[in-house]
Amino acid sequence: MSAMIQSLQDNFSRQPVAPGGDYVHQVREKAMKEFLNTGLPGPRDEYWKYTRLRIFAKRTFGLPQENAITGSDFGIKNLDAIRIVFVDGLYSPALSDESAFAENGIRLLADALRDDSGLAGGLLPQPDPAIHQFAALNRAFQDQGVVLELAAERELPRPLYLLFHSQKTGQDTASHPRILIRSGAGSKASVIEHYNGEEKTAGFCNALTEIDLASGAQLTHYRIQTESDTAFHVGSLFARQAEDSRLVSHNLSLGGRLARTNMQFELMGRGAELVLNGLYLVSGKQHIDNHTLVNHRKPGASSFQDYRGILNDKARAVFCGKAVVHPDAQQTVATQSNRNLLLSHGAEIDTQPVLEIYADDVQCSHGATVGQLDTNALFYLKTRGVPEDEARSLLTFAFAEDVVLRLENQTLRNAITEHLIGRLPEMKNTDELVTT
Amino acid sequence: MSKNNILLSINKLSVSIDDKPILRDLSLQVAAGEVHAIMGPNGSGKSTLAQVLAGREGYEVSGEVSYLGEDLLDLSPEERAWRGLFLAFQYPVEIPGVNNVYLLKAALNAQRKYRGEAPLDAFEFLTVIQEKMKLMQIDESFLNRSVNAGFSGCEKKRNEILQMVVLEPRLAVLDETDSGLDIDAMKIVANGVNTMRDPERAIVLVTHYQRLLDYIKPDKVHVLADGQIVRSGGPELALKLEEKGYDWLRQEAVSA
Ligand SMILES: Nc1ncnc2c1ncn2[C@@H]1O[C@H](COP(=O)(O)OP(=O)(O)OP(=O)(O)O)[C@@H](O)[C@H]1O
Ligand SMILES: [Mg+2]
Repeated sequence: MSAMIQSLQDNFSRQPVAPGGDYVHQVREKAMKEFLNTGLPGPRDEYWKYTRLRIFAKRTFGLPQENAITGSDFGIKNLDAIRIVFVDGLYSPALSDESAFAENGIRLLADALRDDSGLAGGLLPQPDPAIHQFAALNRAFQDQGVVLELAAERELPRPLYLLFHSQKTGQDTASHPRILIRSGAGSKASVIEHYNGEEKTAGFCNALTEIDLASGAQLTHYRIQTESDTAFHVGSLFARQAEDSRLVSHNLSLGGRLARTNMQFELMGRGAELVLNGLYLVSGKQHIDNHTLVNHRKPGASSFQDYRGILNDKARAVFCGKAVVHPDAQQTVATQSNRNLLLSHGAEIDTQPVLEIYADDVQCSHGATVGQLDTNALFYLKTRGVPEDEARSLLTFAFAEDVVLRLENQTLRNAITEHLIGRLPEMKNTDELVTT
Repeated sequence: MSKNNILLSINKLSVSIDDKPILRDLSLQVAAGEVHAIMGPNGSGKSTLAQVLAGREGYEVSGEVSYLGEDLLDLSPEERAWRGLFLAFQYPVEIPGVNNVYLLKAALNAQRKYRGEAPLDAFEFLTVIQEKMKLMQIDESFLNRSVNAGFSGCEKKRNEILQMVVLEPRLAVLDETDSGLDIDAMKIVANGVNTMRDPERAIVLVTHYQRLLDYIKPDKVHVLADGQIVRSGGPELALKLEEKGYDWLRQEAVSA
């Protein structure tokens, strides 16, 4: 048994009593068994072909502990939002807008489990633990997290900003945040999940999100992952959409030594629309893996996916995007695009866009590209006096820009732009050259 | 012509790509205050000359090029730009995501920095650019678009000339800036070029059409064929080419 599993088992036996009593306790026990049955993905696991967990399997992670909070302005500044902040894996009432919870259908997970232990099983049918062992692991530790339940026709007045922040003064812990979003018919909301780590934090964050959209519900969901480049991050997201609902998912994977997201979407009704907008940026020895699966199960739904990646140094990224059009799903529109920019010879991308179509009246397209900076554009900029390094950074930023421009929230868009500019060293002088 | 008046001196320049010779032993002197026109058949090497002068890599180059007394071939493209060399591209490059007007500002300030001048702030720059845009009859909406992205052929050419009049180069090389322009647009472009004429500056125009030279009177006209300058003369040479085509020169070369 690996050191990591050992430490997780140890955490499991020592974790605080389940909120919500026996039923939740039983769900946790069962989930832990399921996790242990499957174990960590190994080399023969086809869903993890390009992502090996060796370096983390040897590490140990403790239970979250209450630490002194060293700041009051963690996360994205000046964001007009309902904030809920978790520091080093634990809810921080001092940094959260508790007064806004009740009127907006927001509860902490622990409170929600106490009200309704049935939530322990999640909002959606449980994914196969043989494939989604990290989702099972999250269920086994469920305690910290947020439940948002929007009544029909309700509109969340401000975005819900969920910040999971790791301080460098903290220990290397395993945390398992759990976010459940149930949107009633015709409701409207925007939710920002932000996983952020200070430099050199090296914990394991294993987040899970479930989204259930009733007919006509609209949700803009941001997943922003800016963990430190020594951290280990796994994010699972499962969504189900009824007819005429609209889900926009922005997935920005920017941090982590090793980060993996699994996102799965079930389009269950006519007129359902799904937009997947993704960006990953890896440098140094980072490894980021994004898996998406879109199931078109009913006729007349559409999905549009655009994921872009920028890879530098000796970093590696994996993109596996699959759209399945089931036999029932006539008049499906599904597009999928994955473009990658390789900035160094040492970087590596494995990209697998997959379309499986079992219906005949569909409009589908997919494609993946791997390229380098456009030498013509580079030369053009240089002839205008822009130095080589700046010109490279500028064009790199321009590559990411379409994805960034799709972020509707302007404060967020600026924050991401700033992050990218900080990551592209020569951008500092040229930030006003970009069109945002 | 006194020696220290020479801005650009090309001496026996040979250029090839993958062992395929494109320019052969080409020599050309351009003095301050002059306008030179380079004409010649398709594929004769005009753009290659322009691109090599601007510093494009990927060619095997021999010979000497001096610009303002420095070895031009030793400088990077950006260093050439800072020293006042400007190339208007035959095919301007589209750069989605890079802002047109800010690129211009960065370009201008990079030059100013090289000359030890203070950078223009946003307001000062706007004053400069607005005047130049009026001159080039370019719409303000242009300011916030990405460099050449989605521009029509004519807009791209005008954008090149706008860049030129803002940057006020010592040596401007214009590669077929007149191609694809209607007569009105050509007059605007010619007007932009003429405002640049100055005893301190020089302009090299690559063109296929005598018509441009009705608006911009050249001091010298050269014919480039098969990688060599086969004939040089005054403006009358362009008129003769218009009338007789290039075959006339080829035949002369054969019979000589
Ligand atoms: N990158 C390249 N690789 C191979 N051959 C090239 C390359 N660039 C130019 N050439 C060749 O060099 C020759 C000269 O091309 P160049 O573009 O300089 O001609 P030009 O005189 O500008 O023609 P035009 O009037 O059509 O613009 C042509 O035969 C062209 O095919
Ligand atoms: Mg040409």
